[in-house]
Amino acid sequence: MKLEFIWFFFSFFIILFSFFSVTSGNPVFGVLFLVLSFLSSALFLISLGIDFIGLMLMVVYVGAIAVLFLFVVMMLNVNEEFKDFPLFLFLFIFSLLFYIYLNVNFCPLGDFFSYTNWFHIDKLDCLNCVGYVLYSDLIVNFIEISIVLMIAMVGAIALNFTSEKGMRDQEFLFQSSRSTEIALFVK
Amino acid sequence: MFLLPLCLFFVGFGGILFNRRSIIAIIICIELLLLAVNIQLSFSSFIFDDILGYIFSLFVLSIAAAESAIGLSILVGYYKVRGNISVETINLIKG
Repeated sequence: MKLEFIWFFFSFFIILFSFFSVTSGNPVFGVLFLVLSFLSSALFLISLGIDFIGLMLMVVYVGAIAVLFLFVVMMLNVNEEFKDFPLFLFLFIFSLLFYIYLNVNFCPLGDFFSYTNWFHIDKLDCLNCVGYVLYSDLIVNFIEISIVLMIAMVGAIALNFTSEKGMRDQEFLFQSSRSTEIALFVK
Repeated sequence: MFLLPLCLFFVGFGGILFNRRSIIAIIICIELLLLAVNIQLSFSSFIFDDILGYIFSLFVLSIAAAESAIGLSILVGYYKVRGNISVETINLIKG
C-alpha cells in the first residue's frame, strides 16, 4: 500500500502542475510548471519501475523541449496575460474529472495485480530490452523517426532563414585571394 | 491509475479549447497531450508486460520534440512579421 501512496502522490502532482501551467497568465510560469509536470511524471514512471522511459522523459522533455520553450518565451518578450480566460468553466470541468478520478477504484486490476517481471530473465533491464527490440525488429521505424527529426531540424532552420539586402555574405574567392599587399593592418 | 492520463489529456484539451490569448499556450497544451499519451502507453505496457509500448512512447517522444521545434520556429517567424502572438490574428497566415 505504501507504493500506491507514492503513485497517487506523483499523479496528483502531475495533474496539479499541468493545471497550473494551463491556467497561468504569464507564459514563463506556464513553462516552469510544465517542467515540474514533466519531472513529476518522470518520477512517476521511475517509481513504477520503468526507469529508462522515465529518464528519457526527463532528458528529452526537460532538457530539450522546455529549454526551447524558455528560450522562445524569453526571446519574444511577451508581456500580455490571459485576460478573458474562462477559469470558472475550466475549474468546473476539471473538478468534475477529479471527482471521477477520486471515486474510481484506484487499482482496477485489484489483488491479481501481478506481473511476470521478464526483465530479470537473463539479467535484462529495461534499457537492454528496448535496445534489443528497437535495433533488430523495429529498425525501419527507428530510421524513419530519425529522418523525421532531421526534417524538423532542417525545417526549423529554413523557416527563419532570411537573406536580406544589407547582409554581409562571405566570399570565399575574395577571402582566399587576399594577400599581405592588399590587406589592411591595424596598428 | 488508469484515469491519470485521461485527466491529463482533458486538462490539455481544455487548455487548447478555452484559451484565447497566445499561441505558446496552445503549444504547451499540445505537449501536455503528448505527455498524457506517453504515460498511457508506458503504463499499459507495464500492465500488459509488453515491450512495444515503451518503444512507441520513445517514438512519440521524438515526434513531440520535432513538433515543438517546428511550432516554435513558426511562432518566431510569425512574431517577426506581426509583432504579437495572439490567437485572433493567426488566420492571417494563410499559407
